[in-house]
Amino acid sequence: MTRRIGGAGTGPSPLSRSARTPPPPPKGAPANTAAAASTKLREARYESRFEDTDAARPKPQAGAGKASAKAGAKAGAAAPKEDPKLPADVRKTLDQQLALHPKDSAACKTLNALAASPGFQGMKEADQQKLLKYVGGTNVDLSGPARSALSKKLGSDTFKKADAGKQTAQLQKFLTDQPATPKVVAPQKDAFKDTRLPYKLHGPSNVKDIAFESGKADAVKYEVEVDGKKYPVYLPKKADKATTHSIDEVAKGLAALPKSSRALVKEVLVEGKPNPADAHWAKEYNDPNFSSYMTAGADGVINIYPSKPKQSQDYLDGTMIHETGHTLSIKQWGADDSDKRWDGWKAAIKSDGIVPSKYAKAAPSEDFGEALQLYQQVKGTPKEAEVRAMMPERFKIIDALLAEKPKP
Amino acid sequence: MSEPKHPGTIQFIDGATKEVTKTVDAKEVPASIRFAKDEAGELVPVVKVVAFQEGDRRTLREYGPEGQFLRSTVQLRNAPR
Repeated sequence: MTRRIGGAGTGPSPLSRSARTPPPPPKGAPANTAAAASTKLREARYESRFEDTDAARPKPQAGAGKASAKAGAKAGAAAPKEDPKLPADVRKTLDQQLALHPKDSAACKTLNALAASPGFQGMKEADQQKLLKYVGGTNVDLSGPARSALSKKLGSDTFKKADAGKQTAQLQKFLTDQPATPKVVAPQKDAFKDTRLPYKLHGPSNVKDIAFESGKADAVKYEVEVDGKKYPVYLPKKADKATTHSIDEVAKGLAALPKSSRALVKEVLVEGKPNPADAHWAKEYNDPNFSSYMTAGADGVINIYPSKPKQSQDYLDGTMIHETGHTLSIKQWGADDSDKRWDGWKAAIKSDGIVPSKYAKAAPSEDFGEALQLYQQVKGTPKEAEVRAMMPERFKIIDALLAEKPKP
Repeated sequence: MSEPKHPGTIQFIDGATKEVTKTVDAKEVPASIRFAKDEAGELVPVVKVVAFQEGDRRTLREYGPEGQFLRSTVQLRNAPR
């Protein structure tokens, strides 16, 4: 018996076992012209799949001769609905992922090559699901780079020449290491445009001797009203526009925060000068090339420092979400992530398997900050479902956390 | 705001390995690092700084004597000149 796995690299599998696939004609029955043409197309796609990819062609099962394997391959739509090598749910996921790429033949080729490899078929079902959801999405945060990396792996001699067991080990390692994961969650352009709430600006008023972290200075004070609450924002009277965020940018940042995080903000100080602590940090870490961009305190004060070049709105939004996310998680589960209250989050990390960024691996608390940022940037967008499928347990916890009434 | 008494030392910890990389005399660090405000806005001695770094981003998280979180700073690598 020859396996039928996925499509031909141009979209959902034409060999799919879904309701879309007509049942095979009975043996000996004359095929009508359309059905025959369709079968030929499927055959061509099935064959070309292996010509176009470097993946190992699925081998016939024990006992099946060369002729019968070829006959099976030629059978196209007549393939049995049950495939002993891939569980039905995995096949369903494969088809769902293929359907996401109707115009991306390279993506489909990679997914088909993966599914056809003996190494993939040797993985546990849960891991097959994770891997398909990880590399099968259309999101550019995680799935795009992961699929490119996987494509290279599948085409490598190390993979192609390995036996099934060693292929499985390589795929397992790929799933564990996630080598193409970005260093940090980097917001895509306008990532928070759709989740940002409307805001109103009140002011400005002139205020004297504001205790900025970078030193006392006269300031202009605005109040940013979001969702019925006003947040004081202080900006230096003399600010370098090339390096310092404007009131509109800060207001947009506040409006992009999840409600629970925003509730923890008391005020924002846009600093006109660098953080005086930078000199000490440079000495401490023996590296003068880092500068503070943002500080979020337990007291609810956010300090934003000048940056060269000035960071984008998307970066500002993402960093505010990440940093206030620390305050949010600490209020929920404590400052020390060895606290038992962190167990639920740690279990979710383990169960999901996929990490939002390399940085997230540093600690459960950093994982929370990164996951929250990713959550907020895909929430309500077409990408939400596929990113949620990669991190279902974490997204469930965040759903619950953000649905709670903010803690005082 | 008057500064409270500091217990004396600040531990610097590598967030990735959880190892203490250095313990310094609190007097050796600037007051802006030696103390930070707690939830109530009161100055509290910083006794632990945990650093996480990945690529061009570093996060410094400062804690008080009771293990309470005080402040998180994100630093970015300066653009090359």
